[in-house]
Amino acid sequence: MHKLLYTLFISLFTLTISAQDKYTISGSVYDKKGNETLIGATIFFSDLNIGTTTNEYGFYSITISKGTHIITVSYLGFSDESKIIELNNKTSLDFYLSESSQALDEVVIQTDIEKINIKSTQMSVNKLTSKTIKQIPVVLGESDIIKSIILLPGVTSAGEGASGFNVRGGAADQNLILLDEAIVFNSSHVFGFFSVFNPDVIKDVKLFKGGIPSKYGGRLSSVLDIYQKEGNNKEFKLTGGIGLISSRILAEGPLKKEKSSFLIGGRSSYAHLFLPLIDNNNEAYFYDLNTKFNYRLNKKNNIFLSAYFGKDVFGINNSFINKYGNAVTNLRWNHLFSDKLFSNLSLIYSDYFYGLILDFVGFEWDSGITNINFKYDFNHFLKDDLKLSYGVNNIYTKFNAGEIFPNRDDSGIIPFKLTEKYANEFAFYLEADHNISDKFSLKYGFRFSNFSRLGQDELNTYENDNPLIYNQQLQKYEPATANGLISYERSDILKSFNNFEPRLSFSYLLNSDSSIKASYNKMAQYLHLLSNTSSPTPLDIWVPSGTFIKPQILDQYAVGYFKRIKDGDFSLETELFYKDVKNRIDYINGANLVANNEIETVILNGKSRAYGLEFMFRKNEGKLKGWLAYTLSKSEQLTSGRNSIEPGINNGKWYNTPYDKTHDLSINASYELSTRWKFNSNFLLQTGQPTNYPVGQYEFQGLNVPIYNDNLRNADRLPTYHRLDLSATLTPIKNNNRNLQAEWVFGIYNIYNRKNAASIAFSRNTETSTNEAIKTSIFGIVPSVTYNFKF
Amino acid sequence: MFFGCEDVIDIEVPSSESKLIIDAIFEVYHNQTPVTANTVVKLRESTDYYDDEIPVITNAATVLLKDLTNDIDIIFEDNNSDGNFVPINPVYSNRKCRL
Repeated sequence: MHKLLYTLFISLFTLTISAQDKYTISGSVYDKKGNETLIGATIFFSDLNIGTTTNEYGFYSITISKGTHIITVSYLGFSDESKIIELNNKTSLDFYLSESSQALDEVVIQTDIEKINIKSTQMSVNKLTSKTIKQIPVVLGESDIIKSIILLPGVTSAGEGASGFNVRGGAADQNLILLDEAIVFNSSHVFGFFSVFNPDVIKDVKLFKGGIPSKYGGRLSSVLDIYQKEGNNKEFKLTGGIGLISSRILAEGPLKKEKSSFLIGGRSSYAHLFLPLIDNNNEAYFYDLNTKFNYRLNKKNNIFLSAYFGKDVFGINNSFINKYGNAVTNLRWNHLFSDKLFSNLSLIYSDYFYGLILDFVGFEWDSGITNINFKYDFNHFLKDDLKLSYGVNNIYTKFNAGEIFPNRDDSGIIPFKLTEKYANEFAFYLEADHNISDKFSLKYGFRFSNFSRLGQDELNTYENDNPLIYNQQLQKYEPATANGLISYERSDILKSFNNFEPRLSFSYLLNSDSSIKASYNKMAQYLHLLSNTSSPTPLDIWVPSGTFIKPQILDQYAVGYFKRIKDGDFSLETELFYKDVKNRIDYINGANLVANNEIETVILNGKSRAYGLEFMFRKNEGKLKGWLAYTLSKSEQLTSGRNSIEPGINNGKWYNTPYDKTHDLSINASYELSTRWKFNSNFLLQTGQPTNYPVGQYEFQGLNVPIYNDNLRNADRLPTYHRLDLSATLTPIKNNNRNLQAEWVFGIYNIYNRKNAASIAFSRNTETSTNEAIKTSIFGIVPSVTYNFKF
Repeated sequence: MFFGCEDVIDIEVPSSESKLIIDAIFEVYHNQTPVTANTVVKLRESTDYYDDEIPVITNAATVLLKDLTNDIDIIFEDNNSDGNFVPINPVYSNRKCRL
């Protein structure tokens, strides 16, 4: 495989040298209003029938034959821009597009639903703009990226009030979430009610579910790639929203006109301010802050400095306080080595912390994860039909698994620190985007990753290196007792893993409106999130691979059929996928994950697989727009015993993962009644989450105790989840002749007040002396109103 | 209106084969002479989660406590046919026994 790729690349480079009578045209595409670069704008030469798209920094470059050409630049939600050019030299050309709604008033409503690109080799990707996200009705009127992507095929949530999302039957810790290229470890506020991304600050959101490009690595299931705006460098602007739960404000403007700009956005919830009024001592609030500064040194150099800080505090009666948050700082430098070679260098620091105070016992707990990430990425636009991407990446991570200390003098808590862990992940990648013919495009490449678990204090050793013992008499797994402790130097490498991750995808145009695509990707994941899903306050602990935990390895295959109907007014996307994950760990029955310094003594190694069919039909044009997404899938896990005596988990048979959802249906529709009123609705239906119900009861010392079958895992299901949401957006007419642009968004979440189960608990009612099943549901019907403004 | 509402619901749960449940705690009073003990061995069956009645196992069973030091059995009997077995003779032993 290595050799084949090598030969391929050499021959490609040779080809380039022989190109004749061709010139490169390059530049950037901007939003005219604020000089914000546009990601993924299409540059198309209709006479040649070839084109390209702008990269994450709005840059494009294409090399074509000399002569007169018509160049058309388009971007969703913006009016097309065409130019006739006489190409007989290297040319630099920037484009400034206007938002279509402002260009013409009475025209057909331009698409702001994301159209499919049938020719691109990239499949299994969904794109959303901040505009679409803001129109989707959501709980309490807080527009939300994570809640929006759950409406896409192949994406499900673990339920209301559960953090994270699941992609194609993958776990929540298998999503790589990037904010301006920085890894975000926790994507949710208030345990999943809201996501940490302020919709005003977001420029572009892309979700890769399969066929994941070589530049991404480290997580198996998906990449959620989010870019923040740079800030308007022409004039000062204020954008904001006032809602029932939180409000947000964003200020942006030039520091040096058309050269440098800043952006500062903040968001805070304030529901907790009212709680004391109703004599409620509980508190739950969050805030976040996004800042960005950029400087365009010259045509060839751009510098960006961005930072994100977010925090959540959740407290009950001042006796239980939970705090967590992310902090990210990121310095980037875009440099053009030539009109064909674009580079971006990133230096990123990211920190995730989690704290818990139990005041009634004088207990305080702190944990976190810190990393320093260095990335150098190149886009090499070799020829009109060949583009290379390559780069290197190094991430050094420190894991503070947890520290317990007394929070006051009279506390009886003995300070205790779990061993800190250290790791380094290095990767390099190379990928070619190759248009073989008018009909056939191919993308091929690889990522090579190396993960080293570095030396730490006090690493446990076990007899026969076995941290988990099977007690044959009691027929259960038991943690082994460590028989020694070894301390290492930080520079020691405890364990090292290398993985070669090939990526391949192609598209074949059947005719001008339909194509088939297929992809394969291998990925390695070295960090694992230990989270006890039954716990309401998940102590999210990330653990690195090492002596006892192997990296998870994924192979994913996908094929799809894509069709545009009526010139793209409608589109149809269908995909089939199969995923296979090696080394997926699961916990033994009764495992204690909280403050456990010896996680290896409660886990077993296994594997998982997921397969399914995704279907998406969209209406992209007209007054009524929207989509219907349906996914039929299966996600399961196998944790066999390590020898013929042990039963493993679930008697060594396949069992549902906690996020297996057989059916997942989402419908989103928007209707533009007039320029003043716009309506939007969602309908969601998902198979209930797997869980365990008691198989019986027994009496012991006067208590009725439910019996669970230890040999069955995730065999039952919560009731089916479904709900309908509606929203109406009112744009006042007076917007037309004033600076202030305002809108009101009225929403009703869960309109028929379905009490969807977040969990079901089984306990005895002592008054009636009967056993009961008690369902906890988070949100019933929730009306909301939000006022958005911009001036 | 919202935030964490709890309801009692009807939901079907699986059933499983019933198992013998031995519910016994031996309270031994070492400070008395002779040492006495207050002991009831309750024999029950496990049952479906929603069943109101816990089935009892009555005279069909034999319950005995063996004194491991002298191999003497202490016989328990269910006098009231309510599944609660009590020793025929009072237990007085501080030695290791096996039920």
